Amino acid sequence: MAYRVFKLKSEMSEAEIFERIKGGDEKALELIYKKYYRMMTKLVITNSGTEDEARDVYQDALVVFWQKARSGNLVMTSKMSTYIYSVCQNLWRKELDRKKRLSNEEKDSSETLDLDSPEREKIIAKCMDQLGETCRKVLMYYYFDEMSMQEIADKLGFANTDTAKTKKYKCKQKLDELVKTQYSEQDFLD
Amino acid sequence: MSNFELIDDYLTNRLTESERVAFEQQVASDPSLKADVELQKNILQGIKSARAAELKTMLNNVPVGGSLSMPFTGLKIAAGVIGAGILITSLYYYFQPQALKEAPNLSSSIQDSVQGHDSLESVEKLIPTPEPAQEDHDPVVAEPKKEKSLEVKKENTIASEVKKPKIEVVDPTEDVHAENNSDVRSEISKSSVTISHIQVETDSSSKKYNFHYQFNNGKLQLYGPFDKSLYEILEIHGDSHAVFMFYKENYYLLDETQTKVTKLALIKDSTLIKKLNEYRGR
Repeated sequence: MAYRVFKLKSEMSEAEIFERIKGGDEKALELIYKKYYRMMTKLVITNSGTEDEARDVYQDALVVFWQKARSGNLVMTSKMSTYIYSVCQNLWRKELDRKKRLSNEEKDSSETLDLDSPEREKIIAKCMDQLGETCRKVLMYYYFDEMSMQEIADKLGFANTDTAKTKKYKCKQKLDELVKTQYSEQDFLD
Repeated sequence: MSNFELIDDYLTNRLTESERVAFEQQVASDPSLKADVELQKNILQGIKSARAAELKTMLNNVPVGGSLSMPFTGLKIAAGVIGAGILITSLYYYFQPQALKEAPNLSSSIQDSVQGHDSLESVEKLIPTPEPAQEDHDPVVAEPKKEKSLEVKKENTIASEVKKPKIEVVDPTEDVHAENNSDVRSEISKSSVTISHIQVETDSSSKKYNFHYQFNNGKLQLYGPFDKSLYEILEIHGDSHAVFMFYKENYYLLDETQTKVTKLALIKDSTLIKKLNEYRGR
């Protein structure tokens, strides 16, 4: 296999991986995901969770980790795994609480929760799907990854920060319009 | 600053402390502004959720090994899908000293004996893809040139016989003479990229196999939504032979010995990815 020809024994250090994640390297996140998969899912599975729930919690935790690292809001004082583990713990505790509440309260009371918002969330998700790939990326990078205009320009190959700025503005306008149109259709149907 | 920017900066914590206080006061006294802020809050939340979902989908596609049989949930076809299409490529590389020696020999032999069938054969030896190779090279090397020289000498005598085919045959020869020979050479010495001989079939109907593949009598069967977007099969020929698939910015290894339906394995080795990017870029 030619695969083996290229394969290098490159163990990245903790710090290096963290730097890469901070810099937006999704491959580094995948590396982490794989590395701690057993460890993190075990936490949930041994605490009355299913494999699916374990994976879901672990992935959510990594998304939190990614966003915090990307936006520069995270300073590593301990190992990455320690941090991710604690996020997993918190998320799983919350999920267990939610389940408990659901089983204690009867179903009817859970339905009194705001029905409007999940519906509207779906609408926004649908509108996001209607945007072009570049628009989606610009908005996600700006609002979720909190990238600077320079980073967005570099990542998406725009000529300069002004292009990135204009793109972001136009894409946001487009999304707003889509959402507003869909919302008013929804109100009309109600 | 427009309201649009103000709201945006407020919700993304980009306002200074005094700006924030002033803005909040304004919101408190203006119901329509308040509604706008609420709407924007929802939209930003939606954008974040979309990104979180995208990252989770990405992680879902990472093989973690072991017993976990994970279904590929939400392999959503993004809005920006380029359109249906298949691109199959075969690559030949020449790291090996042998091959390096071979390449110039080949090109010089083509150069020296343009009409010779020998050179044609060696072209075929190097590129085991008979159909396209022949189509390309036949007119380059073979008959037309002879006919032309014949024709020049005996213009008068066989004019009536040759005239009809001549119109079709001679024209390409002239072009070929000037340019195509060098094209053939450069194409080969640059690690030829030709069409792969692997036949591909896609099947998006299976629920169980939604991101899988198998080899069946040399035929590649892909299971998943591959009819909806562009994918590329890369065949690498060297001292060993390997096949990869490029799909949605990722590479997957295709093991030709795999006759069972297998999940597509994502390649994460950055060195290999770099190499593959290099080849694909050619």
